Parts: sequence; structure tokens; C-alpha cells
Amino acid sequence: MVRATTGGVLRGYRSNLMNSFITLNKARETMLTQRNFNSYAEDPASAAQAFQLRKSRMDVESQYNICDSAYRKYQTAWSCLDTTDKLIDTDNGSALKTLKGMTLKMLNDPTGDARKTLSTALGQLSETIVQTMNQKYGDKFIFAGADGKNVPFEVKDEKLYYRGVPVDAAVPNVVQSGDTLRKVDANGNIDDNGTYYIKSDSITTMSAADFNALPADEQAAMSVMRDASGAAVTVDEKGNFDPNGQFVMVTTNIETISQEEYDQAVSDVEKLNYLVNEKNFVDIGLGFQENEKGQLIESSAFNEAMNGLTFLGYGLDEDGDPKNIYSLVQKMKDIAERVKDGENWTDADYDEFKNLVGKMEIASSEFKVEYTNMDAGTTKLKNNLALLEDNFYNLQEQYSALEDVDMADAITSFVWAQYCYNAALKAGNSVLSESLMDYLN
Amino acid sequence: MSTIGTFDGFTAARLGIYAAQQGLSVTGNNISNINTTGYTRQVLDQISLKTGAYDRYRSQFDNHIGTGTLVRNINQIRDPYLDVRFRNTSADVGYSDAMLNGLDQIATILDEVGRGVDGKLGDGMLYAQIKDLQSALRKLGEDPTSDNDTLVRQSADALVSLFNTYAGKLETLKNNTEKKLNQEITDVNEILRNIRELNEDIREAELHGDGALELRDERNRQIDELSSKLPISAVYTMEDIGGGRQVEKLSIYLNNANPDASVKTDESMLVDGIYAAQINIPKKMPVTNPNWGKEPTDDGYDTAFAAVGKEYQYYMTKADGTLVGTNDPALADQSKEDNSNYLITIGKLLDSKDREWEKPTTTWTPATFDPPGTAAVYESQITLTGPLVAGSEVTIGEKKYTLDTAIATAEEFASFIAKRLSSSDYNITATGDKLVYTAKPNKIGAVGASGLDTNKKPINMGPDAVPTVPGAITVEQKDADGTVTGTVTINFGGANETTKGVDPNVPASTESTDAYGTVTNISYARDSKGQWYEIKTVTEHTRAVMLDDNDLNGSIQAIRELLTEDGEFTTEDTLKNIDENATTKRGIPYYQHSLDLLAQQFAKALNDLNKGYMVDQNGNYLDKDGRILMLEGADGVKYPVNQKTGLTPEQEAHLINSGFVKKDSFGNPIEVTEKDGTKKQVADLNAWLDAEAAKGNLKIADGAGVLFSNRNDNNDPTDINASNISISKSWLNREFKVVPTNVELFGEEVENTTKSENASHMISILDAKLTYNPNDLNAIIDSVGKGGSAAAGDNIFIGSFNDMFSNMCTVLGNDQRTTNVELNSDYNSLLQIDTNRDGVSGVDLNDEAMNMMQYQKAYTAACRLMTAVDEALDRLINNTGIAGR
Repeated sequence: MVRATTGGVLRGYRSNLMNSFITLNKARETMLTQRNFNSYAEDPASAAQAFQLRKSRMDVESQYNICDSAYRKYQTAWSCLDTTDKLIDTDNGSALKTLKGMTLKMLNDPTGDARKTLSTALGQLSETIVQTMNQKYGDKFIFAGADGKNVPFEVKDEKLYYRGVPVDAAVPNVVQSGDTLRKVDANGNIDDNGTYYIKSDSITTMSAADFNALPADEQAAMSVMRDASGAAVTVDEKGNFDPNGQFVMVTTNIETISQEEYDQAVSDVEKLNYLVNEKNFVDIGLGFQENEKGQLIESSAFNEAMNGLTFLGYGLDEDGDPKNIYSLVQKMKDIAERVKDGENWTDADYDEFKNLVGKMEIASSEFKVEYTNMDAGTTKLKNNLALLEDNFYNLQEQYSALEDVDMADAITSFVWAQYCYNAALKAGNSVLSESLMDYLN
Repeated sequence: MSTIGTFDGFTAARLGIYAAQQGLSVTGNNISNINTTGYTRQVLDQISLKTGAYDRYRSQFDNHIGTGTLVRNINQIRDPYLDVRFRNTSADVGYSDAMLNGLDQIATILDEVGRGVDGKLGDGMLYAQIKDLQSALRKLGEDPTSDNDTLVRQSADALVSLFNTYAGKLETLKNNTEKKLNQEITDVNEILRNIRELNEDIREAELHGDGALELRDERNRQIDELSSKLPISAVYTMEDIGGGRQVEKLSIYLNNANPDASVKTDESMLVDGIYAAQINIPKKMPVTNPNWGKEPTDDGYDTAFAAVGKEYQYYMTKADGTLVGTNDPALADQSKEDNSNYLITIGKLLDSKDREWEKPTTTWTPATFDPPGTAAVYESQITLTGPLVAGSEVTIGEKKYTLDTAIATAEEFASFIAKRLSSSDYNITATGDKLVYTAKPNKIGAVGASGLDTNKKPINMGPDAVPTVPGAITVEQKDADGTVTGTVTINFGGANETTKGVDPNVPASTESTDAYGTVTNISYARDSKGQWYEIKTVTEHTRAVMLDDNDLNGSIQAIRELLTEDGEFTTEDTLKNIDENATTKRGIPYYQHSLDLLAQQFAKALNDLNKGYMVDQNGNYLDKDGRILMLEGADGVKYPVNQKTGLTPEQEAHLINSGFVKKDSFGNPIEVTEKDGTKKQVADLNAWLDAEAAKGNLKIADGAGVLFSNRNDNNDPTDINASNISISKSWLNREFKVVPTNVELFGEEVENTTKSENASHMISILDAKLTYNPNDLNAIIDSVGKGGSAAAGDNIFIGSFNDMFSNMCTVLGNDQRTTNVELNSDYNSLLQIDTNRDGVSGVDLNDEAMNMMQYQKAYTAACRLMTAVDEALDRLINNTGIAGR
């Protein structure tokens, strides 16, 4: 600069004073808002990162609520199952108050003094179990899978239904012909237009060689499955039609089932299989993500559906006995009621009752397994809640670290800016004060 | 000792007093104006005065002494280079300042840092509301009741309100920015008029010998102000005003801001002396000549416009319906297209009385013609009756020629006399015994005139006038004593035409007007030596100029860019024809379109998920009767359509054959490349399902339908943007709801009242990474459908809705930061330059105090001098030569 003029010096001073004031104002704003930045422009990367962290925190908040709700539902469910468990087999002060206790008492009561009473109590207890399993959390039924608005278990005609499906549904074994079911008439005679099937359990087989070795009159007198020409039909050892079979079907006690009943049974079993595996996923902070086809990745969500069937059992076992606890009880009750008070068991009834007591034991074990599994689910939710809570505070801490000022630093900066500003003001006073004019006489 | 005037000393003292007094006045003026904006320090232009010439009888020992000082002028101290730097930097500061101001205003709308509600400051508004919607959907997923659907709807309503609010504020900002641009244009025009008037006043003052310093200060101030709005360069030249006088002329041009060297509009003239232009933003665009710069053989040449020359950028329709070309956008036909790019037109240069500027330039170029013309030639034969002795005197007309030597033959005489004869009409030479008369081209004409005729047309060279020959001349022959010894007769034969004179082929005069309105007049003339010239007079006229997109800098350009720049949404046409860097420039439209795209994608994603196409427990789509929906394959066999497993290859082939293929935003089929390199279209199951649904062939979930529409009194999901996104009418009145599940279990035999897999999809989609492609924007698709071009960018961002919004703000924040850095840098430079300029032109109190003392002392000294001279003269006059008296 060749000349430092009064105007030039003043302009420079004015600009620097303004800069100093801007710095002071900025430092004051930082101190008052306690934020490192107040717009994206001040620190775009930190602002974006802070919003990302806040988004995660908002997710965690929401997920925490969902998880907490699921946890409470599980706790209620746990309480219901605990009650049910006690009703089934836990000595609750009196063995007679449990299903298993009562059935054992009945089994060990050869004179049957209290059988009727016990039978009635057994019925009441099983109904209590059903009622317990129909408990609600909030306004939703806990053990109703994905149908929380409707009562899951219902007893109609002493049969238990789960969401309208009989819990004892099972597809009966029927005789096949190749890959198709063998159609017969109501009496079990071969009829391609028939609307019945032969129950496999109702027939027996005998060796075709043995049959053929019989004299002709004996063969004709035997009740075996015959074709239209009257010739005995060859079957395999299970009774399925087989042109090359080595057996013939003995139809002395043949039973048939209508197609309609059969189809209904098939449908019911399909429904039960679906319902027992039905899931309802919620986002509790496990990632909750869908794959490319728009299907939820199951491991990223929590299945909050609890299906009552899983606990009480469903379907029939290989002996044709129900797996469901309620149904078992009903069957046991029926047997017990067949014997008059004061009379002894018949051997057959005793054996059947005893057999069912064993199956009750199995069902009870299954119940405990599922109960334990649910307990594990509860623990998972509990742990997740703790994790979410940690995450929540952790995230808060992270974005606070980005957004919030270090007050000591902010105050120091402000004081320094104020000091600089004051110094600038002071300098201004001297800039404006004197020139050669002041020394002229 | 030199001669000296008696009162010279008084003169020197008087001039000294006068100069010192002027100096004090100038110093006072400087001090008074120390705070006047734009004031330039003034100084005396003082010279030493020497009067008179050197004395004729001056002694070589004399010393010449000056006679005092003279104040020649009062000048300003300015550095033109600093002015140039100041004005260039001022445009940069103006640009950055206006741009930052605009970006800051966008940020006040979109930047949610530190904002929030309900004690959640910092979570943002729109940002947090997207998450709130997701949270509401989670509740719905957990418990799909109508209460929770209401919760979702209320959250969605708050979200769309925020979209609407932000879009509305951006639109308001755009409108306000447009008003600001108009205000800036008005300001610029006022400044241009002011400068023109100041130029007039300064010119007038200069004519009267006044430097008009204060007017120049004001003009400089106006130019400085203009320089922050437009990039300008000021050029000072001397203008001849006749009578040998010149005055200074200020011209202001645009400062060549466009980086494209082929563009010249960025050098357009704004002010030329007493002429100035006005700028404006026309509402409509002039219609471009489709054949501009094209040859008839080029692609796209339109024969319907063949009459419009390729040199014309625009065309206009005359009253008779014919088309003529023009390069004046103001004269051109106006298209229906709005001037959406806010292109600026510089009007004609006019003086204060609205007279147009023109600039004639005349050049003379030697010309030749074909045929060049032939001079007429005459011959006259000479004969002598005898030899001529030396000393013979030959008298022709009034002239007498004396022979130095004897001449024996006619050839010798012809050679002698041809050199001496002269004619204004002919060149005369000798060939043998003949005199040859060759017509001078500008001297002999049919009209008998010489030189150029009054119309400056070439004259006829033809020799209608035959040269006059002397005829017979008798010459006396004398001896050495002077005695006449006889006579000889010289006969000049008659003039015989040997070559006929032919006119040159002089073209007729022409006058033409070029594409820019410049008139060129061409005529021909000969000079006195017969040389032909082409006289070309080119008269430039002023015309309006439509500026290119990048011709400007300064605040006006910044505001234009805020109003127009579309970033990745820039169309390919714009990128190709207007600004090749447009995709990296972002103004209000970019943020509007980004927000629109976000709203549009958001609405589409959730609307698609709420179509409610039912599936059974195995994922098979169901028809209207609840049966499994069948779709035949290319093999003619029908298969179920399964949501989980997708289409069979046969079904895919069938859909492709039926035209249900995936298409891009503009309806063009998308092709994928197979491993073997062949290209294949992709079947679009959703399109087929939509078509079947439209025919009523699908089973639809109860309450399924459009959640977001373009008005809340309809269910129309088309053309949704941030301004119009609304909760649909049917969702509002609860005919529709968020469908929690699309699964029907066993033909409705089993209920699933709390199943919510569809709500899960919605929760998931809100966090899904989606691609934001500018060409998916409804506005772009509509434009392409009407013949416009696609956007140049392919994708802006891939991420969730929240991430997209955050990305918009990050882009904005980065632009603000960058612009702020530029502004600070430019402003500091400007400040430095201004201080430097002040160092040259500013008033300094110390300086002025020194000047004041200096002139005061000089004044005192001059007065003292006057006293001294007075005393000396008194001594000389009154007290000298009195001795002895």
C-alpha cells in the first residue's frame, strides 16, 4: 500500500471489528444453545451423522415399546402356563388338585370309591386348563396365534376346537389303489363311482398263497375283497390294492369313511399343521429386514405369536389316541365313567386307562418342553429390552458427543472472543483519535 | 542579464498567491468530502510559467527566468487497474452474497438441525415424522385395530402436512426470489440510465472545459454498484466531436463471463457514451429458426423454413405471412414456451431521447474491373516540308518551343514535340512520325465533365470529343546572324481514332442489411489519377441481444441460478444446449424436485403395499371367488401364481409374450443381458396383477386401497408431489385402512385377526434402501411425454426416506459452506482492493494537513514576495537617482 489513508484505515478497522463481533456472537450462540452446530452448513458431516444416530434412537424407542409389550405378554403367558402346569402335574399342596394326581388316584383306586367324584373333578380341571389357555393380554388372546381377537379354544360336544378346528383331527389311513384312494360303496364293495374309502385299520390281510390253498368252497365262504367277477383282489401287506400283491384283504370287520369326512379330516390336519406353525413377526430391534423378494428375513424379527396347540398338543398318535391334554382327559373321563362306582376296573378299561395315563405323562412332558421354550423366549425378550435400553443411552451419548458443546471450551471461547472484541473497541478509539490536524496551531 | 518587465515580480507573486489559494480550496474540498462515498481525492495540476519568446537581440549570457506558477487543472487521483480489479471482484462478491443468501433461505425451510417437537428438540420435523409413522405402523403391526389405524393415519397426516408446508415455503421462496430478480433488474436499469445521463453531463461539461470531477465520482460510484450485479468492464476512449476536438467517452461492456469462447453475447455493450441499453426478462422466448446454422443437407433441416437463412437465430412472420430471419429477439415471433430459464435480454442502445445508436465506418479499397475499360486513342501524322535548323522557334497556340538542335525528320520532331505538348484530356506520346493521343480516363467524357459526376458515379470514358490538333504551322529558318533564310511548314495531320474508348464494367452500387441489422453500402469512384475504388460504408445499428445462460456473473446471475438450477434433474437438452455443468448447480428447483421425488416415492411405496391382493396360506394369489388364481404358461398349461416362489419360466414367457414386461419410467421395456449375451425382457407380474385387479378378477383385502392421493377429496394416486400429497379421501373417511394382512387362511375358514405381515412390509419399506432416480419424477415423465427430454442424472441417492431427506440437507449444507468460503475469500479480496484503491484515491487527514500548511506557507511567502518587489520598485522609483538633487 502506497498510502494509508484515513478512509482506508477506517474501512479495515470497521471490517475487522465486524469480524470480531461476528466471532463473539457465534461464540455466544454456541454457549447459549449448547450445541456445536446449529445448521447443516456449519458441519454437514456431523449433522448428518447426528440425525442418523437420532433415527436409530427413535427406532430403539419404538422397538423398546414393542419389545416391552411382547415381554409383558410373555410374562402373562408364562403366568398362564405356570398355572396350567400346576394344574397338570405340579403338586400344589394336594396331589388331588392336579390332573396327574387325580388320574393316578383313579388308577390306584381299584374299588372305585371316589372314581365318579374324581372323574367330575377331572372334567372340571381340564376345563380350567382350557380357560387358562384362553387368557387375554390386553384385549388380545395370548395363545391364539394370529387371531388374537377370537377365543382360541372352544369346547363343543365335549370336543376341543382350536380356532374352529378340532384339535384331534387326523387323516385316517385308507386303502389305496396305486397312487389313488380306492373308492368303494358304503358297504366297502369296489365301486369306481363310490364315495367311500376303506379304513385301513378295519381290515386284515392273509397270504394269497394260503387263501388259494383253501378249498374252493372255503374260499367262497370267506369275507375277502373281491372284484366284479368275484375273484379275490390281491393286495400288499398293508391292504393296498396291488395286482402283484401276495395277500388278499379280509373284510370281516370292514369299515368305510365317506369322501366328505375324509376330505374334512385332511383339511383339518392341514389347518392344524399351519396353525401350529403360524408366526406373527414384530420389530424388536433385531434388524427387521426383507429380502429382495419382499419377504421378511425371519431372523431379523421376533415371532410374537403363541399358539395354544403347541402347548396342549393336537392330533392323534399312532394308536389313534389324542395327543391333546384336554382330549386325553376327556377320553380318560369317558373310560372312568364307563365303570360304575364301587365296581372294579375291567382289565381292558384298566389297561386302556393306564395307557392313557402314560400318554398324559408324555403330553405333560411336551407341555413342559414348550413351556421351557417359551421361558427362553421370555428371557430373550428380557435381554433384548436391556440391550435396547443400553442402545438408547449409548445412542444418546453418541449424538450428544457430536451435538453438545464442551461447556468449558464454549465458555473459554466466548470469553476469549469477548476479550478480542473489547480490545478491538479499544483500538478503534485510538484509530479515530488523532491526526496531524490535532497538532496544527 | 535578460530583459525584464518592470512588474514581472508582481505577476509571479500574484500567481503564487492565486495557486496557494486554489491549493487551500482543493485541500478544504478534500477535507470536506472525506466521508463522501465514492469521492476521489483532488490535487492541483500546477506548472511553472514562462512567458514570451527568446529575445532577438538576447545576449548569450542572459538567464531566462520563469514568471511564476500556473494552475493548469484540478485532477483526480485514480488507478484504473485497481478499478478493474475492484469491479471484477465485486461481481464475484455479488454472486456469492446473493447465492449464499438464497441458500440460507432454503436452509431455513429444510434444515432441521435443532428443531423438534414435544421436548425432542434436535430430532427434526419431517425427519422425525417419518420415524413416527414407522412407530405407529409398529403399533399397528403389534395390534391391528382401527384405533391403531387411526394412529397411523394421524401420523401420516402430520407427515404429508409437513411435505405440503415445506413445498409451499419453497414455492413462496421461489416467488419472492423472482420478485427480487425483478427488483435487481429494475436497479440495474436505473443505474444504466444514471450512467448515461452522467455521461451526457460530463460530455457537456468537458465541452465547456470543465473536468466534471464530482460527476465522475458519482459515475464511478454507479459503476461500482453495477459491478456487483453484472460482470462489466469499463472502457474509456476519446470521441471525435468535430472541429478537431475530442471528448472522453465511457463504454461499458459485459465482461466475457461465459467460459465458452464461441459465445460472444457475453461481451455485449451496455453503455456507449450517451447511449445505454436496458435489460429485461421477457415472459416468452423468441422462436428459434430450426435451420439456424444448418445446411439443407444436415439432419433436421426444415424445408418449410428454407426462406429463413441459416445465419438467423430467430424468425419473424411478416404481415403477408412470409417468414424472414432476424437475430433480434425482440422482433422475433414469440413462442408459447415460457422463459423458464429467466434468460435476460439486453435492449437496444438508446440515448435519453430514445434515439438509436449507430456507428458508420467507411473504407476505400482499390478496385479493378472486368473488363477494366479501354482509353480512346487518336493518331495525328506529322510531316515536315524541310529540315529545321537549331534555334528554330515553333509556336503552337500561345506556347513557343525553341529547338536546341536541328531536326531533320518528322519522327525527330514528333519525338521532340510530344514531350512538350500537354493536355488535360490526353496523354500525348510519339510513335514514329505520329503523335498518339491517349485519353485520360477521368478527363474525357460524354458529358464533358471531369473527375466524378455529382452522383459519384463513374463517368463514360468514351472519346466523343476528338482532340484538337494544331494543323499546319510555318516555322522561319534563320542563320547564325539571325537572318531569315526561309520557312519550313510542319503539318499536323487530322486526329484519327485508332482505338475506341470502352467503359469499364463498373458494378452498380448496392446496399444490404446483414443478420444483425448492420447496413453495408458499396459504391465505386475514381480518384483524380483515374484509380477506381470500392467505397464500403458499414453502418452498425444497435439491436437487442438475448444472453446465454452463462453470460453473467454477479448478483443477478446468482438469483437466476437460484431460480433455475436443477442439479441432477437438469434435462439432457439443457445440459447439451445451455449449460454443460448444470448437473452440479443446485437452486430452489433442485430442492423442490428432490422433495417432490421423496414424497412421490413415499406415496407409491405405501400405496403399492396397500393394494390388498389376497393370497392363501401357501402364498397363492386368489381370484375374486377365493380360488387360487391361475395363469397359463407359454406351454398353455395353467399354474397358480405364487407370491413367494414367483412365476414359473413358462408363466414368465407367457407374460412377456402378452406384453406384461417391466418398463422404465417412460414406458420403454427394460432388457437384461443373459449370460450368453442375448438380451431379454423381464416379465412384470405386478403389471399383470394390476390389470387383473382392474378387471375385478382378484380378491382384494377388506379396506385395501389408496392411502395417499393428490388431493384429500379423491383417491387419485397419480402425479403426487410434495405440494399435493394428501391422505386419500377413502382413508380419511375410513373406507380404506392400512391392510395389516393379505393372507386368507383356508378360504376364510380360519380367522387371522391379528396377523400383520403387511404392516411389517410397510415398516420395512420405510427403512429400505430405495433408488431416487430423477427420471422417476412425475414432472419429468410428463415433460418427456410431451416431447421434452429426460433428466441427465441417473440417480441422486440410494437409501431410506430419512436418508434421502438427510442427504438433501447435507447437499444444501455443503453448498452453503462452499459458497460461504467463496464469499469470505472474495469479500476479503474486495476489501483489500478497496483499501488499496483508497490508498490512491482516498483523502487522508495527515496529507491534507500537510497540504494545508504547505499552501498556507506558500501563500504567506507569495505575499512577502509581493512586499519585497514593491519595496524594490519603491526604491527604484522614489529613491533612485536623487543624489545631488
